[in-house]
Amino acid sequence: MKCISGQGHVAVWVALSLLILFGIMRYDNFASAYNLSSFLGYNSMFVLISIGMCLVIMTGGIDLSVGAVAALASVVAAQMSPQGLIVAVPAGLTAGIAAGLLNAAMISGLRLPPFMATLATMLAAKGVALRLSDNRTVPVDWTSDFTALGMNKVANLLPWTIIIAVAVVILAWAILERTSLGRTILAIGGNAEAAHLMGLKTRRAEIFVYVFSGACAGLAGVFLASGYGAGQPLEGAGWELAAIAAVVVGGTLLTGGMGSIPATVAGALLFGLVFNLLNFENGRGTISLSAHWQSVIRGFFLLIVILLQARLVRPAAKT
Amino acid sequence: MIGRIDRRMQGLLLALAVLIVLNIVVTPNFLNMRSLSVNVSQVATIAIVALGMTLVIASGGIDLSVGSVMAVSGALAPIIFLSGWGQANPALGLAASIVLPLMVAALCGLFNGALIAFVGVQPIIATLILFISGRGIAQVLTSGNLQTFTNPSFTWLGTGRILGLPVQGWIAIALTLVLAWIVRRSVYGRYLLAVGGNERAAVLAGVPVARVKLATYMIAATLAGLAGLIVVAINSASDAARIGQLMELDAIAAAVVGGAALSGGRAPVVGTLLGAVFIQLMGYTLIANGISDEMTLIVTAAIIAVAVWLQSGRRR
Repeated sequence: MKCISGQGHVAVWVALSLLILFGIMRYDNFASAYNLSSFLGYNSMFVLISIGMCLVIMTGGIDLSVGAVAALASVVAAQMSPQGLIVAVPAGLTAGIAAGLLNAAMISGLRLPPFMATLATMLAAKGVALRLSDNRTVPVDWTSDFTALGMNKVANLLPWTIIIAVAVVILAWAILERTSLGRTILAIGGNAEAAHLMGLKTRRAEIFVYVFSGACAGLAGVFLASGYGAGQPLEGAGWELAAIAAVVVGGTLLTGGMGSIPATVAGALLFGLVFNLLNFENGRGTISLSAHWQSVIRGFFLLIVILLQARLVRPAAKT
Repeated sequence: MIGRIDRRMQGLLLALAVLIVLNIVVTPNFLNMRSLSVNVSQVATIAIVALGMTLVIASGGIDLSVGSVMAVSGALAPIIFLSGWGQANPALGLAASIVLPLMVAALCGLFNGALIAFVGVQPIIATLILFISGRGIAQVLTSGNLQTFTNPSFTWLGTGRILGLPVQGWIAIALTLVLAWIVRRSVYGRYLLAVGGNERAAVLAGVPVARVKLATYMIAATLAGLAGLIVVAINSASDAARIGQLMELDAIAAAVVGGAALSGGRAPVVGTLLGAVFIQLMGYTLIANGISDEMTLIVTAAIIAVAVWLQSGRRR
């Protein structure tokens, strides 16, 4: 099954390795436990939504609603935080799943184009988040155990959020590589009509990917509220595009039908690493790059990886 | 083909008429010049960007970078007329601060178009690059600072009036008419619809597909650049972090409500203008009647879903 990801993902592993190597050689504290856990803790949110996005894109769809849904879930979770983890986490997750179901209903039921359907959900989720929160950030209840999820560390090293994110990654990978659902997902992206005619349960798979993506966004929102102490209705703008970039950098074609979960994770980490390295570079004080350079450099990386992919994938695809 | 477009336009016109009548009845002071000006100046920038987006969508593509391109051109203009050279030659400086940003915007479009037409990158991804880095470039140019200025001749673009209506409203109408003519009557217009309708067939028929795409993305980016200048002129200030924020979504929504199909092959330019006006008026109606901002988002979401649903129903 390894061949499904083609050669497109080679570029991202090379780029990620080079950046990590560069960081380790150049900065003393880069490989420290502290940097590792704060870097991975922050980026676990992006890894989650990128994984959801990856499955959606594999079916040839797209999910623009993830950022707004994460913001909505963070508001819901923060409002439920006095009841503790046991209520707040499922509440945030439910908000995400509800948004996913809405997407699935519009796309699989009404046959709307995914781009427009999820754009509508994005606006609606943002509206609901602003309404629930009364247009303000919602502080979490610090006396309950809700913040333990985002702030406590297992064995004083890894935050819970990272462990959960890794579990979701493994789950997504297992579904994709080991179940008929996963094969159906890839088959839809390859050729939806053919997959349907072959008797595959395409509709079920389509509903699944949008609900899964919604759940991932919901969980990311819960992490946001728990790790940073507030439900943030205005957060998440542009997350959907960051996730799409991570998926694409990971070698998944937007037309669907192929892709790799591990390479998507690498793609998400690659974009996070640009920011991390920039912080270290500024910390050294030799040069001073403003935070604005961050997005310029990210765009540049996206360009390089896309050009590399065009060289790697195109000739293979043509023969 | 014409009959179908007309029917779609009839629906949109009817919806607009209902909204206007409703507003005359329920919204106080709806019919005075002031609220008309407010609405026109708010909708004009969205409409201008949406016109370019309509052409891109007609070619079967999408352009996510329009908001960032607005930020780039909006950041450049004050830099030029506030520079020593610009202040020494006010007239030349003014001309340069309009022409140069538009040229840079066109270059952004060239970049998008080249990636799409020559490298074969999908439009969402190709334009995602400038979406991410364009705003960063604008912020680097201005060091992230808010640039404020007083330059009456430049701000005329955003605050001037012709026959009582804001200049940018006239610009939007003029551009709509020009583009509607181009789409219907020019060779480029025919090629554009051919490329969006069936790219393979267009290639086989000898349509210069790559050149058509380049031109389309350049037009869209130039229009976005113009919208960026207008936004800066309205505010007498340029904030690279905020100009054109989320504009790509507004523009896509206006185009789709106006009857553009994401699958390409249709360029309802006049519909796009009406779509932008419809979304604007809907939002204005809700806010003017005391319904909160966030409900507007939810209603806009519903409008988009219904518009796309109607469209997909008709196609089958």
